[in-house]
Amino acid sequence: MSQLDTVRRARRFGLLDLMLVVLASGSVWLRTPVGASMDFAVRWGLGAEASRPVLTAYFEVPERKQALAKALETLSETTHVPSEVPEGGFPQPWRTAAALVLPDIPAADLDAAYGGDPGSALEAVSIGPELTARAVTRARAAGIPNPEHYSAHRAFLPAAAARKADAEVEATLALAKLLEMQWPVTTEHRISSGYGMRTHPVTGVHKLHNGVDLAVPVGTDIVAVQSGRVAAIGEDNANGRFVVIDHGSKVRTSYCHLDEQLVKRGDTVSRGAKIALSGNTGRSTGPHLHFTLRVGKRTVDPLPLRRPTE
Amino acid sequence: MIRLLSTLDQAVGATRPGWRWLGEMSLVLLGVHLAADRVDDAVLRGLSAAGWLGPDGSPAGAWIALGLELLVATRVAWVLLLSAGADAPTWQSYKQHFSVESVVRPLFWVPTSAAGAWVLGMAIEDATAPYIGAGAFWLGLLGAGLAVWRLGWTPLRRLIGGLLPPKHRTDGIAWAPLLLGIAGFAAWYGLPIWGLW
Repeated sequence: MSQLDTVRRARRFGLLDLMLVVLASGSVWLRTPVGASMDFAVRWGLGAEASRPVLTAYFEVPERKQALAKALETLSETTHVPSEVPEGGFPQPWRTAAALVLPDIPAADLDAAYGGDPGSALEAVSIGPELTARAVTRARAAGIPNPEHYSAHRAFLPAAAARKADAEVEATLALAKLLEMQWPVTTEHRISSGYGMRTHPVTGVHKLHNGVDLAVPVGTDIVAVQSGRVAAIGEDNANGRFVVIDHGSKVRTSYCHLDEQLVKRGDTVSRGAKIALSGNTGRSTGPHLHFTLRVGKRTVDPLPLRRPTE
Repeated sequence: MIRLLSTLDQAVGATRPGWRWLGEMSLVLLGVHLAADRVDDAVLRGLSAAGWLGPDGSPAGAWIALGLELLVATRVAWVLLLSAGADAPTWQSYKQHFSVESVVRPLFWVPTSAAGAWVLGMAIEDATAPYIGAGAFWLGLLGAGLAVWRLGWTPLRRLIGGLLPPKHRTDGIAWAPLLLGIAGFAAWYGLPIWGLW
């Protein structure tokens, strides 16, 4: 083989390689924190403002709660929360939630897509059955357990479809969880501090009070607001003894300043089950329960979800 | 037309040493990001199991995963830079340069580049599905295969061929847990093979 042939051979597939390099580096630039870091460096060098999300956003579900926030606003304005939960819960709370989060989707479309799993039905009407089926196939191929569940195959949806589904499917399922919530204290009490900006009574710092304070005597029964799994129990200087319950669909509740925790990490609890006795532990000025409701990484004011009879 | 394309192909191929490393690194970084995304979950699960997760949850998992991803990216870039222009390895040269590093390099590179290729394949499938329907799956598979061949296999040979003579057999042991951990996550969550059995 002549030297010229050797050179030609070495230079083959130039266009193919260039195409693959553009595709791979473009994906890194747009989809990974490494790309965002380089983007930030370039913009900083040019004196332009950064336009990318914070780096940790690449590990989180993107801003997906706008629909939920809107639905919660609707709830607080028009008190759509049913005054009573039927025994055994709502037959299909996700339909009530869907009507609030996705008012433009006809109920008939949901009926047609419903095959027993609300998440799949919502996903099908949100992004279409083809994308859903493809993601399920990929998740199954990757060996992910229960690939047909939205949370299992979400990572295999195209980014834009996943964002749309997050905003619609997860927000709806989360709201369905919230609609069925009960109040954590069943005895009479007053709200000593609401949700929102306030000056902390101990530290004096003006900041968001991320839950509500219920003034109750030490030893009052605290119940799980919704069924779920105990994600954490613990004690620290600020929160005192606390319990965190994961209710699924990224809904979590926490109960702080407790006197005694009656559950263990990993326990499954049902709605209304006694989980703790209230107390005055941690950074607290008097006996009370600090109750926090979280959807994803943001806190939500639980008061609009309290029933008039509770 | 074919002659023009061939000339263009050769001309672009002549400039390859200037940009090929970018694609090779990108392919691995896609796999590393896929793995780091799972590290985030694993860290949170670990913190929760250890009882260190406060009631407000914790962004620790995301920060740790991000730190690891950037650290691995720096390491990959550095090793690719050092190995630029290295010859393909021979068994004799590999034995001479045998160390922890010589074992870790292929064990890290193979699953992360394969996972990156799969990510790329999915991107191709998603981009083309609205136009060619079911054919998009095969196009994605073809794209992933080409990526493995052109951007995964070639640098692997260079990375092994470019091993420096070790001072000790334990050279590279400091990086081994991190790189093998990431490679493990990439293999477990990034390869579309585990569901086959």
